[in-house]
Amino acid sequence: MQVVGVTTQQEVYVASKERKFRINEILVLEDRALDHPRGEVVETLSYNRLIPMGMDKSVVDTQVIQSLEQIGYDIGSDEVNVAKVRLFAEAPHPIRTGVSARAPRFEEVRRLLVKADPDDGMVLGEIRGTDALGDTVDPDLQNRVRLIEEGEWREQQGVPFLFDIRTMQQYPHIGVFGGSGSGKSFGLRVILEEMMKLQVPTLVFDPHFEMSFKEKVPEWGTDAPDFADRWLAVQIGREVGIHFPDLSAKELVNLLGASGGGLTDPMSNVVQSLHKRRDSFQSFSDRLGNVAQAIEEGEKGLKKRVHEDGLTPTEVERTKSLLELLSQYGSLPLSSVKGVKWRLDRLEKAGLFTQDIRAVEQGLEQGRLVVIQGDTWLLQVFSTYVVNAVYRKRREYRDARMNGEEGRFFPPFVIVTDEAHNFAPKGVDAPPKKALKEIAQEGRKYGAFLILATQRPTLLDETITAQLNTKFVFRTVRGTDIATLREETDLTQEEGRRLPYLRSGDTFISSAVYGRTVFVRVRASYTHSPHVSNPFDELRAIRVEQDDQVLRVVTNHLPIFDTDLLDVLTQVNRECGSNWEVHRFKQELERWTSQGVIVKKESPFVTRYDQPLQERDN
Amino acid sequence: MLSVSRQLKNKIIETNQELRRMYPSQVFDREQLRDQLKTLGFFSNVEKWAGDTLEKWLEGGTLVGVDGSVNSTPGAHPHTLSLFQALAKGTRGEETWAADLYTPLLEEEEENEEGKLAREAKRRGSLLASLEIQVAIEAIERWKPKIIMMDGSLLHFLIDDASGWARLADAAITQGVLLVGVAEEIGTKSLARRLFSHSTTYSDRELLFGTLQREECYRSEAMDPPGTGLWKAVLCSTKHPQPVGIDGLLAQSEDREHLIQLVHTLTPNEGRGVPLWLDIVDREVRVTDALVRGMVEQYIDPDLRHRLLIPKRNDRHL
Repeated sequence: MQVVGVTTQQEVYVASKERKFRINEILVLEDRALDHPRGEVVETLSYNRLIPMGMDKSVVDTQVIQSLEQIGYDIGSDEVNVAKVRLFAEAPHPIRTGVSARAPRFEEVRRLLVKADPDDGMVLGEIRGTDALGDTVDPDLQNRVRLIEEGEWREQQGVPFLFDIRTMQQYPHIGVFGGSGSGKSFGLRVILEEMMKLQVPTLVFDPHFEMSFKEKVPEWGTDAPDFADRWLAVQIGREVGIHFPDLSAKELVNLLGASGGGLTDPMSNVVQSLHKRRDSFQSFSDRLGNVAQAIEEGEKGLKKRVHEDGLTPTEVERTKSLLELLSQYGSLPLSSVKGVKWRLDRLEKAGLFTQDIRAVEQGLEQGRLVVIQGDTWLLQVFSTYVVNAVYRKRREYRDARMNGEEGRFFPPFVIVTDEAHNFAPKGVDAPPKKALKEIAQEGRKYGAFLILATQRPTLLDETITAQLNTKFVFRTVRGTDIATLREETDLTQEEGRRLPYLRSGDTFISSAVYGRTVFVRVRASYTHSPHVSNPFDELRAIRVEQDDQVLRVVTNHLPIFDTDLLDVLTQVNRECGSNWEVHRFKQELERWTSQGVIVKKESPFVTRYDQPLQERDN
Repeated sequence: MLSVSRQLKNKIIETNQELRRMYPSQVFDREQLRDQLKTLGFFSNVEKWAGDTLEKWLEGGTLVGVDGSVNSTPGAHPHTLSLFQALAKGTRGEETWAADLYTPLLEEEEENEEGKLAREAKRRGSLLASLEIQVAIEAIERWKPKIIMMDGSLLHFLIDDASGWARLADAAITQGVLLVGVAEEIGTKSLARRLFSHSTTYSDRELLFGTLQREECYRSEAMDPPGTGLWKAVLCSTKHPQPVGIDGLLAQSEDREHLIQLVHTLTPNEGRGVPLWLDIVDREVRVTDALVRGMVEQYIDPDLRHRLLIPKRNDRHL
């Protein structure tokens, strides 16, 4: 291997006749004047000058090449391999052309590849292109991961990629980008597994109901850690919700705004005017209802009602209190009061106010990973509240400590969400955006961090994107997203070009810690998503099962004459819980006939369905 | 429109007419020529070796291709520097190289100005031939291959470096190495002289152009250069109408058919009709302009380089 052609301080070309280069492998350039700079192969090509390509060149026929091969000539030996190598650190002057290049020994590159203690860091995968280092890898780094490649399990061959979570203090927040099927969700799962290993308090918003760590991947056997007490999943409206009396008027305004496209000024005025401290949901809801009623009936109507005959004392009392409300809040626009009421009811119906976030807080305090599940819109509302709540708690504790006070401890935590562009979209407003932006910008001061995954980095708020100091970039096909990613990371042009062709599970990790982009294969996860079964397989399985069930009943009644169809159908419907009509039943019988499961016998008088075997006996 | 002077145009038209008069179509009628050639020699079909026939014939021996190349700096005499390279390359990866350099700047001034350039050219030719012969002999001694295939006719080696040729032929015969030369251009005139004794301008190249069919070979004793110990044949291996010349040692003439067949087998159907192996060797040995430039820039001091070797025309603007 030799450096050839024009060199610069950043890049050189290395050529070899004997050896093929692998993308992302590391080479040492033996330029003594520059103290043996190291670089990474960023582009490779091979060519055979005897098999030229070009419209004007004739193609050498295979017959001649075969004849030459017969007399011992290996045309492959005239192949030249060329690699473009980018130096890890810029050299003070260009590399000397002609110096030889070689594969490094592990100790020469450990510093470049390993930035964390393998026992403290998150073990996320294997660095691509390091297989050549194989056996020279230090024992403490061996057998850290297992990988799945093309559906086959394999042991670690190269250097594991370790991410030191502690560097988040300096370089906070992680972005995970990639299109569907790129391995993004899978990568996120692996990150979360590592967080659980390290017992980092983590809050996960899961709109897809896929972040369950219950189902283990059997291939790991006993090597997989047990996460049972490291995580919990809670559903909004079931295990968690918002404790209404804790809400301030301002929070309530935010919340109602979150439930549907922001609040108008008159609406927030309604909330500010009507909400009282420590209001329960009931008291606030009643007050809203009463005010609405009072405004609707008007002063005249109410006064007239007081003087009506036959009113019970309670009714009089109620009317009077309505009048009082009217005098106090009569200036509020009725439509706004009703709008607020409608929104409040919507949240209540979703069960948002039946619980509190105790479970979430407790989970975080125990260093667990708390998965919050719910519909996207509800999750948006709830996340706004819960993020604000836990962030405030953490901040209060830190601020108290800063002021020399004791304070009540609340742990630092990480907030994780997939489809982050829904939570913090660019240009438009979304409920949790403000809170996420705040954490993005100053969360590290308080020990609050973000891991945001999205398939549309272009749609994610730019301020937030800019704060993501580590970015995992999986396969991305969309041109605008590739452009965004290239802008936001140190991905090179060559790497950008490779993005649409990455294999699922391969990712570029652009990290301020490394100061460059590392190409990594994500390790096999210990657990898998509950959604792994294919819906089409499911469809077929269900169909077969249903068929079996019905056929069993039908077979018991064979032979069936078309005159008893109704009787048999009643039986079928009862036993199989189906709801068929005669027409449908006939269709199914016809289908089974055509499949040969049963036999149809027609005579001028009657149609008979029977078992095929008996037919043959006749 | 290209601006072409009327005078030039007329001259060209005249030339065309004159050429036509000298080479009338009726003389160069294909069938007629074939008949005439048959009176001196014979045409035969050549087939490519199929399967492992070639391997068997080689009996484990290898094929070595020999080629040389020369290139000079672009100055005018005597401000030039020529680089010579020759390579013998075996099909099993064996290689032996030889190189030389020549510049008139370091030669003694010759009194006789006349014919100086021609002598220079001859010197260059013989230098290259000697280098090629040198690597060929080395190849014979070191690897004792089955065949040595030279780029260019064997005859020109004899002409350019007679003593070297004698050593090569001797080594080949005593070691039992078959020697064959493949020439892109046929330079002889013997056939033309026999058939068209009235014209001194015709050459074999012109007669043989388009006369042979594909996969056909023509041989005639009239072609064998007398007194050289060489046989000669022409072969049309490809669609190209211009056949190539093949020559070998009369002492090894029992293998003549095999050698012709070998050349044919190793020649791609498309292309100029030369065995691919020679193209491969040529490709490797070629002294390119870039190589000359690079070497001169690297190793000749700048003041000498500019004083002696760089012509002013290099600085043309257009």
